[in-house]
Amino acid sequence: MRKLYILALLVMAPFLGIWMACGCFADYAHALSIPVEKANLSLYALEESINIIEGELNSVKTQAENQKNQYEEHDESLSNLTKQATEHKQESDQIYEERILTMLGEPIRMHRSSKTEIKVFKLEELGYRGYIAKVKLFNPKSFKVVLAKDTLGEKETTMEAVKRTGALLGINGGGFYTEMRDGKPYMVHIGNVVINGKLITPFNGYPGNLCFAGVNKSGRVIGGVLSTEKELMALNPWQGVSFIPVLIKGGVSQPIPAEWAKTKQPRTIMGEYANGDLIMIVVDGRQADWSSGVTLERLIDKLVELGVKEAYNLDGGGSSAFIYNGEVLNKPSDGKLRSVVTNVVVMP
Amino acid sequence: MSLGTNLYMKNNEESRSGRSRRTGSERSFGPLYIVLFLLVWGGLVYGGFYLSKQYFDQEITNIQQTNALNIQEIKDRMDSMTNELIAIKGDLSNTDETISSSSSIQEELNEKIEVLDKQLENLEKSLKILREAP
Repeated sequence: MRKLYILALLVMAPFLGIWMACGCFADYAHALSIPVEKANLSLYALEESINIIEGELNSVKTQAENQKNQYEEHDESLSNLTKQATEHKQESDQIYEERILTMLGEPIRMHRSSKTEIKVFKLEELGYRGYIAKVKLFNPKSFKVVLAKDTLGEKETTMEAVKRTGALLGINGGGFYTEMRDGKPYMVHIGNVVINGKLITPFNGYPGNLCFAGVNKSGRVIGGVLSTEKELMALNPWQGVSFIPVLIKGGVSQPIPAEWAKTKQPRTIMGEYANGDLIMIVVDGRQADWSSGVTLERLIDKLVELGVKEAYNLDGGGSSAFIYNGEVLNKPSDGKLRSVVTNVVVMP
Repeated sequence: MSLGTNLYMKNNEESRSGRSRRTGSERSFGPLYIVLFLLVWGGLVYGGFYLSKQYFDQEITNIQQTNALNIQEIKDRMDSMTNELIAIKGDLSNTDETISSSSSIQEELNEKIEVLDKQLENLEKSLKILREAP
């Protein structure tokens, strides 16, 4: 019987070992599980962070979109304001133009291109007649001072200058005199002449009321009594001639030398309106049945009445000439066009 | 010898021969018991092995399943976070575009303010000119 028990114990021994192993395996089995708890905690933290970032991002996004919308609204408002300001300016310019045209009357000739707008008017006043050209320079290079035959000492009529350069409008320019050089007549311009931004001769500091009149590189009328080259160049001249006197400066009538004030003569004037439009006037004279000429005093009054803000007297008398589209519109006092040293032309 | 004695002796001999026969059968059953014992023991071992194996396999399968579920859950959450991060990236990109667009509009605004300023200056000049009209 004892042997049987021993035998039974022996038989049961493997099962006992297996049972114990199984018991232990249960503990070890848990060790085989992947410890996800820490990973879960990290994931929760990460998810939380992502949620916070999402929230912040949404806030930033909303703000950015709001700001963009505001900018767009401001942009539209500014566009409208700019448009309105432009329209008002155009209206204002238009009213000014109409006021000028009301004073000048109906144009008898008209030209408009991308470079210039030229309107020609008749000037008919008590005792004198003439022609007025109102010029808008869209391209300042359309305005030119032309030296006779492009050579110093030479002379040519305004018509010749207009035809030679292909200009549409031409008036005579600055004063000149004749001197003999090597037994031949040599035409000399008075004062200073600027062509394409350069003095054609060294600066002439003639004392007195001799004035320079021309346009700068922006096409605005410049001029005055200038005693030094520095003063002249400070005006940034593009084209210009010299004569006497200054009639209106900055909208103010200038005192006229006595010897110029009271005499009726044919006149050539270059000036400017407040809006930058050029005005060129030629008044005929010395022809009792047509026009006896005008004194500078009366002419200044007329210019002020027309609204001219800047005006300079150019060479007058027999030199005064007004050419438009190959036609001499005025009646030169010599009965024909006089050859002069400089002419002012406007290209079409 | 007497008959009785002979019988006795015969019986005695039979009795002896019977004992010796029983001892011989005992001897022939011994290995059989051992074989039977080994078979039973082997069966029990196999049974034990089988049950243990089943148990271990089941346990490991359970653990694998638990791990797989955990991993799957983590993977799902990671995927979800990846999607969220992609969405954040998209939102960031959109916001960046919005901000860039805003900057661009702001620059345009500054330019337009300058243009407006210029236009107002021009308007002021024009009105001043108009005031001086003939």
